[in-house]
Amino acid sequence: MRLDHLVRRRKRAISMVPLIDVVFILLLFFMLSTSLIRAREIPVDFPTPDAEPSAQQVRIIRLESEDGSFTFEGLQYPGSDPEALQSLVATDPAAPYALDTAPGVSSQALVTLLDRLNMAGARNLSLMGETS
Amino acid sequence: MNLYRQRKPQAQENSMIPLINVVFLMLAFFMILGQIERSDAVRLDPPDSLSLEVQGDYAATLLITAQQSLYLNDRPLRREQLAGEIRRILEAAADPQSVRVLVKADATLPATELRLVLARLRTAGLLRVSLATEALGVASPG
Repeated sequence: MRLDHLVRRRKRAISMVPLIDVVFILLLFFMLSTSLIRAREIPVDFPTPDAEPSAQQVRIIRLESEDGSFTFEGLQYPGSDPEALQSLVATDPAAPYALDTAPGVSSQALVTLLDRLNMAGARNLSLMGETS
Repeated sequence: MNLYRQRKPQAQENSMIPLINVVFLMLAFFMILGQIERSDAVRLDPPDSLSLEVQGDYAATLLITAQQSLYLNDRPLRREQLAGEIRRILEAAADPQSVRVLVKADATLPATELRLVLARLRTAGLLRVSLATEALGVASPG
């Protein structure tokens, strides 16, 4: 009689197998469809025609190569030296900075320089217009 | 002997419990931290950046592939059509000065090409543009 009672109780227990199946399918769905990469943005606002700074005010930085080296007022700065950029920006952080690029430089290098200028304290950043 | 044989399947089920726990934890991880996003019309790898600005709402999204082809709101677009389409978006907006367009360019795209497209957007009358970038790694949700 005791054994019979045990068997009856086991039959009533809910089977875990369908639950595990569903959880595995859910896991597979979320693993394949979700993205852990966080999308960010860099605002590049153009000045309105009446608020455009004069050509004398704008400090033009020309990105020369993929490694981040750039020229400013005829002087070449290496990309591997972040302090050079910081001391350059520190002289006038509020000035409008416009980025020019040499041919062959990728967008990644441009965005990296924008980041470095931002970290150095430059707040008024823009890109030089390309007309060709 | 008979009783022992009956207990065997339940022992197997018990040994599955740590696995189920791990699977539940993985499920919770992906559900909480992951984001289900609509994929773009073409595969793009935006530049990495340290920017902390989280992407918001945009009037339109412009994709520029490494092969320099353009897609506006996932529709392929010829270069000459870009200014006209942007003007149409600006005309339809209540406040054209606050219209913001997300430019999602491939990291390997030549920077001169990106600047050329941005100059065309500006000529069309657009004032607010955001460059799409990505921050790798898992950040706090929200």
